[in-house]
Amino acid sequence: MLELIIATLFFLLTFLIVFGALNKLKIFQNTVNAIVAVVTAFYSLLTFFLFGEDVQKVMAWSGIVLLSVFGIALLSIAAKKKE
Amino acid sequence: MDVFGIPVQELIFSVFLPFLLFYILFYALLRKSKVLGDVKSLNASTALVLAGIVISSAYAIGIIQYITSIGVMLAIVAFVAVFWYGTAATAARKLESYRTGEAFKTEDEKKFDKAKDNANTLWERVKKQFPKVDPHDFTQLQEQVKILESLATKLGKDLAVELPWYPEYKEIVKQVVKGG
Repeated sequence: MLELIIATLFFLLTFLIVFGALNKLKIFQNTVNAIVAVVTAFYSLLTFFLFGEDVQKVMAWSGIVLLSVFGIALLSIAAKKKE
Repeated sequence: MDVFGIPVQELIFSVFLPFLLFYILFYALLRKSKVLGDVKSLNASTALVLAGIVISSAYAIGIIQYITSIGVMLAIVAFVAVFWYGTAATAARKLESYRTGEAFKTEDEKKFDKAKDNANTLWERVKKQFPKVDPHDFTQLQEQVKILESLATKLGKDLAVELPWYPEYKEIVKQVVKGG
């Protein structure tokens, strides 16, 4: 069940990022952007089914790294302001 | 009580709150960097999905407790940083004002000092422009000097002593009045 949720989210994430990037670049029309994003998202879904466990590990650990970086940034900003 | 086989307490503290934290972090990062443009809905949905992936992946591989611990540490660090900075900065400001004597000054004295600084800056500017003085700068200087004159009478101060350029300024004003 959890695998299915993560796969769906992964599909959505790829779709949103590709769609957003294509929209920003304005190379194609809006509908073409959507089609390209859907196709890319299906490809990434295929990759997820092949390397699902590794992708999960990378995503989970990158979250921890992000939180740690945020904490360090918070401390350094507070220290700088104090100076 | 269990929801989807997960105890409610664990669901709130290990899933929902970290999810919220990640969602806000990702949303802020996306909005600040403008990687996907300035579309709010796109940024919000991307942040939602990213937070969902991170939390469900962490839950699936069993490292969600690390995220919870880091989240708690982060909250404590943020509180301490803000509290420490606020207290230290206020204390330093107060001490500095006592050291310089600023804390013992009356409101009028503070106003006088501020107007004096402004007038000195304006005078430097006007002097550089002389004899072709910008009328706007000169009007501002006149306003500041007027404030200083009224405050000097109140505080019993001599403007010629406080502002070494005051007699020269008076001469210029006389010339301007004579010249129309």
